[in-house]
Amino acid sequence: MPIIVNLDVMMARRKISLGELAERVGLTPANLSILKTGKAKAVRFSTLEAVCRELDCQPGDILEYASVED
Amino acid sequence: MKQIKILTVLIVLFFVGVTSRDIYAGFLDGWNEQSTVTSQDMTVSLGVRTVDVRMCDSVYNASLQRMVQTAPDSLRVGVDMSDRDLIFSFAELPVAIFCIYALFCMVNLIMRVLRGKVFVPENVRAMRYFIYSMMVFGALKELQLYMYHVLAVSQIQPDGFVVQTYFLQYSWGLMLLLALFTEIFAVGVRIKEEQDLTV
Repeated sequence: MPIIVNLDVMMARRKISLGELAERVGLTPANLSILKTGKAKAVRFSTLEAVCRELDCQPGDILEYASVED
Repeated sequence: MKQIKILTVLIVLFFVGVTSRDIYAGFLDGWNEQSTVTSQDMTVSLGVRTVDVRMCDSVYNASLQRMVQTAPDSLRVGVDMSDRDLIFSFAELPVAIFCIYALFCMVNLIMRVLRGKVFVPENVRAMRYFIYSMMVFGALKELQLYMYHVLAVSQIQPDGFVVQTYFLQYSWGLMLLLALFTEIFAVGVRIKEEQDLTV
């Protein structure tokens, strides 16, 4: 999929676990794991806003576009 | 869930009843024709329209208290099939085996639904196997029946009757409707999957 999710990178930088981030963002760990592993088909703006707020980052730090040829 | 169980039981009873009736009727037909039909003969039902009034008969209607006219609308005739029937049998056998597998898939579908797993890709696959295998088998049977009709018309000229043009024998409208609902269900499963994977 052309959109790469770098949530695990940001989580490692901020030293926060999946469970803790899920609790702060208001999602279940299973749901957040879908995003972290790149299986998500869509992300709500409200979720993106909450993740960026908790990780103190920009959406571009979490989401990256890579074209198919790369 | 209770409605699904009741409908499943009704469907099973219906299929068992129809199959038993067909098996019994087929057995009786074969038993009654054993002395008059050769191995290459086969009986075919032709739709007819009476044009000669001398072909009409009358029966007594107890409610109207008078004789009423009757006229046959189909004739069952013996036809020489030669080996043509064998060709269709070879073509229908693999499809029939797949139809049995499709029925098995439908049973699994009902078991999954009763366990609460409704909108899953396996159910879409089972429904597609079922309806499309039935349609392919139905198409082959229609072709076979049409061939019988053409053969019968070429061999039989019933006096006093006009043979009706062949028309589709199976409920294609219902099958197409079922195929449409299957594809609509598939779209629903895809939308649900996307919703499930929306964070």
